[in-house]
Amino acid sequence: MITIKLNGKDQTLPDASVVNDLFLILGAEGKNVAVVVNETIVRPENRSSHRLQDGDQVEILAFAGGG
Amino acid sequence: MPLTDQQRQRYGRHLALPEIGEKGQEKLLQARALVVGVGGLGSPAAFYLAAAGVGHIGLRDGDAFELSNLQRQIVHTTGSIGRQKVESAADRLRELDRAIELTLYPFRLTEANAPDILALYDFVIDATDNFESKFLIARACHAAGKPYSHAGIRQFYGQTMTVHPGKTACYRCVFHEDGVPATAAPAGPIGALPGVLGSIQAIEAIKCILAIGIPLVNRLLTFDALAMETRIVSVRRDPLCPLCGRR
Repeated sequence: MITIKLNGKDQTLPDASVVNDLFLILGAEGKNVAVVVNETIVRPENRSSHRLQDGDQVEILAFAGGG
Repeated sequence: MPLTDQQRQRYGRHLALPEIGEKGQEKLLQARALVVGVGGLGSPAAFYLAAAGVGHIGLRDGDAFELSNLQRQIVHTTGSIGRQKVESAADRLRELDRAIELTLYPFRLTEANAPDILALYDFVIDATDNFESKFLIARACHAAGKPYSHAGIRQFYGQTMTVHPGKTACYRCVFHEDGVPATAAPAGPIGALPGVLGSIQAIEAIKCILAIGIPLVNRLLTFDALAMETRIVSVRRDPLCPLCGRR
């Protein structure tokens, strides 16, 4: 198991988890969100391959289009 | 131009701040800011820019004011219903200060008209209410090399980030455009939420004009009103960004 910081809170994940696995855990679709891992953007096309590491700082940012 | 006695009184609280002072106030009076969207975010942003003495403010909005807007778009009044938002906002800002120069654009910003409009301004406030406009502003400001403040809101949540195109992470670095609906679902928001975010945008504009403090660049500020929690999410420029990437 690995532990990451997800939006500032501890989240435990199985080893070899990728970004897309986070959406399964969260029950989210993963659409219309931006993902930042250790200050670097992970674009949608890379989310199924981007492996998360123990201690990663992960931010899932909802699109907010209102004004 | 040196300040008049009236201006020294009006901006006395600014003059008392070492970061602003007379020189800074003169700079503000000569500055030009464009507020794109005069709704929830644009109301407080334009209001505070005018109150701060930003000498020339452009207001861009193609919509007419509706009754349901009153819940959050505080630059307008009940008498604004049915009027063009830029006209209604301009009247209110003139009541605040007749000396502020205003230019009104009662139409949508487009790829075609954006370059000529943006060329006239030092700073752009993205206070629009849809993704299509937000991505357009990101592209147009990148092309024109104009700094801008992005903000977006939904329900009880808001986010904001300042961008110096070509130098700091841009809106398009963080938010991918493909598959995103052009319009945001009209979910809420709670009325005071755009007040918080729009006020931050005004502060960022003033800081940028005066070159003071640390701009909100390479950092997205998120605000969760239900949890009453703000977070600063650091983001680096994406070298593969379709807009500002270096490929």
